[in-house]
Amino acid sequence: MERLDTLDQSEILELRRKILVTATLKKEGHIPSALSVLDLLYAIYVQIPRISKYNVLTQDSFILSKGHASLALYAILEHAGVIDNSWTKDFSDFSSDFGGHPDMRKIEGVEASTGSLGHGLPIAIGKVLANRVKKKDRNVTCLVGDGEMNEGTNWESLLLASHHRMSELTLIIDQNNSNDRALSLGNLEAKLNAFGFYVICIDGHSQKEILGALMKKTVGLPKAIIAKTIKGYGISQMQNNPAWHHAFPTGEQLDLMLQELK
Amino acid sequence: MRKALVEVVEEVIRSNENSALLLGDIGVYGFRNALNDFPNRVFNLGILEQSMIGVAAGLASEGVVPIVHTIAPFLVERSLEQLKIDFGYQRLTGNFVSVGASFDYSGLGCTHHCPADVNILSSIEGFNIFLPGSPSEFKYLFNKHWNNGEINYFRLSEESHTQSIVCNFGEIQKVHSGGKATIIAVGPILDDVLEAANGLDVELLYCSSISQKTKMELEVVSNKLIIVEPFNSGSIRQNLTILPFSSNPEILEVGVPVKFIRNYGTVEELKQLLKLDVNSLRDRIVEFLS
Repeated sequence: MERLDTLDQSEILELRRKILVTATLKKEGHIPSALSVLDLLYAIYVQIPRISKYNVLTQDSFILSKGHASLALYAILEHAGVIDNSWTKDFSDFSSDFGGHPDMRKIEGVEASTGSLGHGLPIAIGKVLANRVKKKDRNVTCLVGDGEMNEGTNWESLLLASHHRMSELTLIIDQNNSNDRALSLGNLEAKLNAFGFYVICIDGHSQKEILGALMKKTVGLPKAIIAKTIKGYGISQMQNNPAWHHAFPTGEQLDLMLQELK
Repeated sequence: MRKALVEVVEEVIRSNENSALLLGDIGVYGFRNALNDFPNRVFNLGILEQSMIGVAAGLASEGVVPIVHTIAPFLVERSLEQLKIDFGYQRLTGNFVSVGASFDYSGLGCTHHCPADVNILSSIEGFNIFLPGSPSEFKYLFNKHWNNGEINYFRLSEESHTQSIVCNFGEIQKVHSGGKATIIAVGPILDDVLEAANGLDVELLYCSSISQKTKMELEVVSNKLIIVEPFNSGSIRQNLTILPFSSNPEILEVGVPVKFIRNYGTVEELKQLLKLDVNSLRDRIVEFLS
């Protein structure tokens, strides 16, 4: 897929290094999943406020339904100035606010306590209904994994979003194909189209394509962005290697990985 | 109680702009006026109970108080993880109103039975459980608690007692005095227990809720205690502080046994099968007292 990014990637590379080092130090978290979604979160939390001059965190809602990618969320929240850097020191510690899955009651900017898959999208739909009740002009974005799309609640929610013509809703599917070994989604674009979504397929590591898809307005249709991503993106031995799903590099491996992220 | 449900919930919806009603394709005819008058706050969401609870959590997270209604096993057992995580773990406000109770749908079989709901929800931190015994008691409890900022489960039954008693949340009330044993009747089964204990020298108490925050204090009159609850036994016993502390009464828990009830028929026939009918209750009480 052609890269059209004009963005200076140094900020995102720094975030990748932070995720890798923090998880390795604390021996907790899902590094490849975090690296899979990092570019998407960067666009949502950093780029759009930068471009549209308003703060997504206060105006719109975002739910990271695949809560095991919490390392990316914490890194982005810190970069966006919502939280400080203490999470890198106490991540997953006994008294920490920052666990392997995010807790909405502990962390500012986290709108749902996710971890069990298939919970985020129904909650997002409830938020859209609530915004309508309160006459608030807010968008709600929910990021799910493609493996998470195995869950029936997501397909129930697709029906709801379409039936209630939720143009305020953006569903992002992190399609890294890691779950194809269990249950492939087949032609996801066709399925989402059939469910009544306006579907955009993008390179989930291209800021230009992510932003283009996020900024696209629909009328009367919920929007789905199928973001083609690579699990463990940026670290060659980790990319698309299921052995790294919940594993941590040795000191020697870490040095090599950090070299690669320069 | 269904008529009371429509009356009290419709009034809440009409008078509170921050309330919403979600139906799981149940009670649609009863709520036809609310569905028509408040299309942005009253939804027949469809037959997708797990997502319905998640949607309710989304509403609650934005300050809209949800009222969710469907049949007990689908509301509680099918959607258990959503109740646990989306509401319990996230500490969101919600109201869940079930119909069907343990086996009100006696002719429809096990798929529509739910004798375990009270014990299941008692195991989730933060759930207030209301077991109203009559339509008027349900109206009183719902009006008082639906907007309390907590998680409330209202268990409605086709059966109800005929007493004028209304019990506050977490309270036990005395129905009549006696000396040889204490009997607690829970919710709609009160009339059956009254009839079963007629003429016996027993103290009869009544309760219609379970509060996790406050245990109900119970001063026994003898060394025998009987708890009659129209669902799987256990939750009421765990919610009691028995006084005096030195007492160690023998306890008979009478409830729906943990088993699949594979028969059909009427509610009364199933009560006879499970020895929860008036005659069986009396026999069990008399045998325990002797």
